[in-house]
Amino acid sequence: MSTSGVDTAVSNGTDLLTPHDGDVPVLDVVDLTVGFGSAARRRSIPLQGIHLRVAAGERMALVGESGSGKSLTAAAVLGLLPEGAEVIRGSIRLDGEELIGAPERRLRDLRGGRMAIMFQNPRASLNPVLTVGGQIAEVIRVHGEAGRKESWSQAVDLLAEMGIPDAGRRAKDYVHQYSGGMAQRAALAMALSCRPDLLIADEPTTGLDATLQQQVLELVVEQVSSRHASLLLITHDIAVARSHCERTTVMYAGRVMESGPTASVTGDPRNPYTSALLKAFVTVDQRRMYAIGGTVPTLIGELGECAFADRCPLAGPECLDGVPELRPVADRRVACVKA
Amino acid sequence: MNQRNASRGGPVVEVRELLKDYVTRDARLRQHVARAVDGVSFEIHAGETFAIVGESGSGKTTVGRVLLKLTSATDGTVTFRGDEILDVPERRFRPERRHMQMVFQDPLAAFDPQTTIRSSLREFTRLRGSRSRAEEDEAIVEAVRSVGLEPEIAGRRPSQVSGGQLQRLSIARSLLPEPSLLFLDEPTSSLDVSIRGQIVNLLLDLQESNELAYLLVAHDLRVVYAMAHQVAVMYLGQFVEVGSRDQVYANARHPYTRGLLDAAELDEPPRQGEPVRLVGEISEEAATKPGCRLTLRCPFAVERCEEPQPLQETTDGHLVRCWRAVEQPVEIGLPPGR
Repeated sequence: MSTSGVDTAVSNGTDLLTPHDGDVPVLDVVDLTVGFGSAARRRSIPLQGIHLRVAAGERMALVGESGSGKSLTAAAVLGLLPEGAEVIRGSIRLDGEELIGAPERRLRDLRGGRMAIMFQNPRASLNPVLTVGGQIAEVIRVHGEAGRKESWSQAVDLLAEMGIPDAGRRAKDYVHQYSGGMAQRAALAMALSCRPDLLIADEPTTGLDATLQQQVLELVVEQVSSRHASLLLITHDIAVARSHCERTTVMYAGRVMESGPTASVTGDPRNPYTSALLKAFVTVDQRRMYAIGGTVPTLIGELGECAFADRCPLAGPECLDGVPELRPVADRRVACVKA
Repeated sequence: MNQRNASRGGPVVEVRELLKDYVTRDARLRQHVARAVDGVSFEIHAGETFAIVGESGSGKTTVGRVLLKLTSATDGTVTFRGDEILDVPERRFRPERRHMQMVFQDPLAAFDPQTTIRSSLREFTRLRGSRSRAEEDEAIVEAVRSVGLEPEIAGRRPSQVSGGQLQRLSIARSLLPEPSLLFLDEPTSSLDVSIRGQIVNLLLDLQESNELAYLLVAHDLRVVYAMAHQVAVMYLGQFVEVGSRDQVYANARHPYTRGLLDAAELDEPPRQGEPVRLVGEISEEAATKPGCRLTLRCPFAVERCEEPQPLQETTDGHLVRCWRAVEQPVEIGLPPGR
């Protein structure tokens, strides 16, 4: 966090991100930049220099509105970028292993092996024509040494651990026979079936009612912690980050705005966008809501200024003079010239 | 018309003992009756918002749809601007319809994608009666300005404007026939967080300047807190708690309300008593029970809860459907009655 940036690797302050110096982070994303279209005809650059580091056993929330690039970041980590998107520069390391440029076969082993994902719609991650227990057992069989019978009983145990009552019987059901909350529990069982080091949960509770959301998130946190795995929780709700994750990264228009311990980011935000999100989410006034003017940017090109400047209450001329660097401020990193 | 305007002291809409059954038949043609709304009563006054909150499957949207005569009622009465409307045949009701409008959750689905926003708006100006094209254009410009947008935007198609702008335009459209009641069905839940507040504040301003009555159905308890005067908490077709916004938020008595508030993680207003955790999920099977429908999910359920639970008044106008909340609020960590 010191001075002149002799070493390029530390000049952008990535050393500040890890709480355990020396340990290899489970996930280390450095300067990840992703564009749509070819270099000659670049249509948009939806991720612009993303830094994200998740240590072993840590729960990190990735918070942002639609179009902020939070889901695209997850897709890049999983090696599942959509058609037409390419990594322009940057690095993604899982347990120290570089994923960018890794062969597809290797990525396939890692997905569902060392990293797993849980989607917003649990029915999207479970096969509708296989029984729930059958497909979890299959994953256990493919990634381990268990035989047919042993993998089935492990699948049933896993469903029971996720709080599915009468798991032995429900394992024989199909996903459409599950309620929304139960299906999300089954999707979690599926994601955890191969003991990943990193669980990526992309808006896992967005379609659910608040009461169920609370139940499912608490289960995710409990299960991830008891397995000493790391969690990357993608959410639009900064209140969810506040109650379930130790660290929070806030994204806006394809950039990281602020990243650090959740208590500081949500308790004493240094980026005006983080403050605005918090006000919009957790404060309600007497017959008035906190409103941020303007609209969320959609197609993002190469910017010469802070992406939030046109909506920011604190914006001044200096905010239009180049894109603010993500730099160390107190116990976190902030991309704002005013911080 | 003048007569009705004269009766302005009364509620804009008054709903009594509303019942709505959905009847389905299975493969063997056996009839199954699902009671989506089970004896709901409330009224909304001009300039006021009545909000219904509850989980998906509680029946809250059905209440609004029945009230707007978008679907028939099984039993009960709805009095709108002084007249009973449920028995009025659709053809005779048509001219009245312009007085009740709806704002939908997804504005993109509420506009015709093939045509410009202006022509969508134009249809609604005609609900007020025949006018010249110039007068229609003037009304459209005024409506678009009233929701904080430039009139030029009306020349675009729905896909060419942002979600927040389109929701503004959807509100502008709903106001063109000069309604007295707006049914707001999750008006902000398809919008980004930073846009939600803009729409809520716009709706509040328009309510104040036009003396509008709002029926608000929403999941987001922050939005409800900012907008509602009265709040009803609905579970499996029944109101389980009804009261002023402050009664329901700051002094919630029903375990279901307390569970919802706990899960919503609001910072304001501060709640009293211990947090309540609901277990499991809403299940239609419980909707036919004679007693409390929450027993399988409620941490305080005992045998007595299986008896029918009437909606009872606790303090001034604050109604709760739970014997314990009425008789022994202290035992469930609630403060004694005020």
